[in-house]
Amino acid sequence: MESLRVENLTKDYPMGERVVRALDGVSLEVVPGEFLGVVGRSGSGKSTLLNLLAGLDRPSSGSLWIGDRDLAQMSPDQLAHHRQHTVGMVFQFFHLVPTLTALQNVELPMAFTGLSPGMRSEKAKSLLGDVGLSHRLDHIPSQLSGGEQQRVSIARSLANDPQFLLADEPTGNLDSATGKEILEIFKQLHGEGRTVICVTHEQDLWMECLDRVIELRDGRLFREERPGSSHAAGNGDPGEQ
Amino acid sequence: MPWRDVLQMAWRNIGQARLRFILTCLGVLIAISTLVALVSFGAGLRQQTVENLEVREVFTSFQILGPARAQSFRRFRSPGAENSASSARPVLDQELVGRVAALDGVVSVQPDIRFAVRLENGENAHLTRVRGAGPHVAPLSPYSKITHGRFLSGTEGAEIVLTGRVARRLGFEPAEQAVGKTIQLLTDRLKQDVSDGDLPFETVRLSYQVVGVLPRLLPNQTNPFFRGVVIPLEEARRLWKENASGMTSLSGLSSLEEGRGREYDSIDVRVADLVSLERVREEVRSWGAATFAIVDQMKRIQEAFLVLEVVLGVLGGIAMLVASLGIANVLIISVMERRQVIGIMKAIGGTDRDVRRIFLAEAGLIGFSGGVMGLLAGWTLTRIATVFIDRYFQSNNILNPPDLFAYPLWLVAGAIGFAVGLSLLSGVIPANRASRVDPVQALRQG
Repeated sequence: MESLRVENLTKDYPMGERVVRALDGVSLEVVPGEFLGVVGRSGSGKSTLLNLLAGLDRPSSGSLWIGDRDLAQMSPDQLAHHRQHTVGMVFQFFHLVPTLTALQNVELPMAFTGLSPGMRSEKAKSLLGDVGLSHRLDHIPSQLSGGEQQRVSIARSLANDPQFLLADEPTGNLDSATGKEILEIFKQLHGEGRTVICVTHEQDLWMECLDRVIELRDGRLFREERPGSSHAAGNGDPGEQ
Repeated sequence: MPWRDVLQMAWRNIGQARLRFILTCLGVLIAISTLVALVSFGAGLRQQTVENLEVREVFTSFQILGPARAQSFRRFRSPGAENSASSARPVLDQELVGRVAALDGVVSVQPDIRFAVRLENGENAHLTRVRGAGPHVAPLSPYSKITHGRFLSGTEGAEIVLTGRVARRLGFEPAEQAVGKTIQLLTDRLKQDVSDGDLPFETVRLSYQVVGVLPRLLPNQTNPFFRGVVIPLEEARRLWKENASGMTSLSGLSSLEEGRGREYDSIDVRVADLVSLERVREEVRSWGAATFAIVDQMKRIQEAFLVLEVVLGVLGGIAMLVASLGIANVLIISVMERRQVIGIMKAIGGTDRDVRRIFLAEAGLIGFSGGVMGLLAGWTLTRIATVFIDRYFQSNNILNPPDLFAYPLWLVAGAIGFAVGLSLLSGVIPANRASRVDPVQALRQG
């Protein structure tokens, strides 16, 4: 199990003549098995941080270590390998391939690793069974409810047994009852020893399972809090949240 | 991602936009069927020509030319006949026939014997030329294709084989009615005794039984040296020796008068193989004789057909070029439509190479499907055309019309390969675009 370490991470986006700084010198460490919540207003840099952790984007400066490997120095193929094996992603809008069935969607990340069709089908069925969708294997996303689609998305994120689970507003597009069901699944995954980093607006919903919460504001780490303890640290007033 | 999965995914993507796929394939189909029909026409013509030349044994035969024939060949700038003007040239007589026959590698040597005759059947008469033919021409076209009656039974005897046209001129309608009938053959003979004021010729009348009638064939289906009305070789030689109607030079006529015998117009030599052809021909030419072989023209014929096939291929290729632009267009639109899916694939571990391969595979599958269907469509088109061409020939009493379209293996493999290759090439730009899609932006737009 490896820890994740971010040092002075900065990400700039050119916007015409201007440069917008989405992340500004963020440093943090996530220990193995931790459940980290990332909160903040829209445009605060939460999703940018998640994309950098996933290796979907590259930092403008700073470093991002998983164990002894710096993502900032990796080649595109190494980053793809990182997304195949080290991290699994869950999105607010599920992002399933609309033309593939639930089973095929879950099989897809395993196809990229070259796993045989028989083995990946078996594993995909098992993962979909774990999220309660054994009866929906052959349904395409448009035939599934939002909650069911998110379960497929979670099953897909686990296809290659990643150590890190990166979730971007996983309950943001669901009603509260379904959101709670999804939360339960995340709790269970965390309980199995996975490191979970979850970006959310719904801090109250997630608070019960988070080990730590960080708040980003204007691309900077503004506040850090450990739910259940009265200790809060940061640059701003904890009472703002 | 293994190729099997890449192809599976590409096929699935194509299936999602079936109509678009069918229309794009249709473009390839039209292009390939046009290309195949045109090139198969060129290949068919080449095959027909080469096969006919092979059938007619021209690759293993040459002619020794007499002075008159050599002159006519020189007019056509035949390189093989250029050394014919030699004053030391040998006389084309039986002695020369014997000399050539003794050379190693020679299969047969036969003088070209032909002369003018008048054929009569009761009231009907027709002027034509007859040739002498030995049994060795029996397997050659057109004699091998006799549909009514048979070929001559030997080198002696009062037998004659007519062409359909001559039989009809002699009043046999249909022509096959002539088989078994006896007709008269009239020919001139040099008088033994010529008194002052008399013509030096007299006419002899002979009876011949018609044993066969030749079918009507295209000129390229018959041997250039053997065609028309034939009588047995020795019979012909006897008549020809005394016949002066075919004399083309005064020297020939005087040699006849002086009793030196008549010189053959040409001598047909057949050899065992192409190597023997060159060797024997070189030997004969060293004696000062002029020779002619169609094999000399073969290189030019092949070059002409190559140019024809290239021109036809380029015309078909232009159609395929247009189709490949269609493929590129469709794939570029597809990349734009599927940006989000590309982003998803990259987010869950797909590499740039995986994405590029999927789009290239789609291009390749369009090319392959269109290529195979185009090949079938082109083949069907040419088959239909062949039916009409056959009917046309048959309505003109031409038996065994040639197949003008050929499908050699290189054309079948080449057509599909060309379709796949050009489709892949047209897929390169869209595939590269797809591989460069920024997953973060693509997911945000979705």
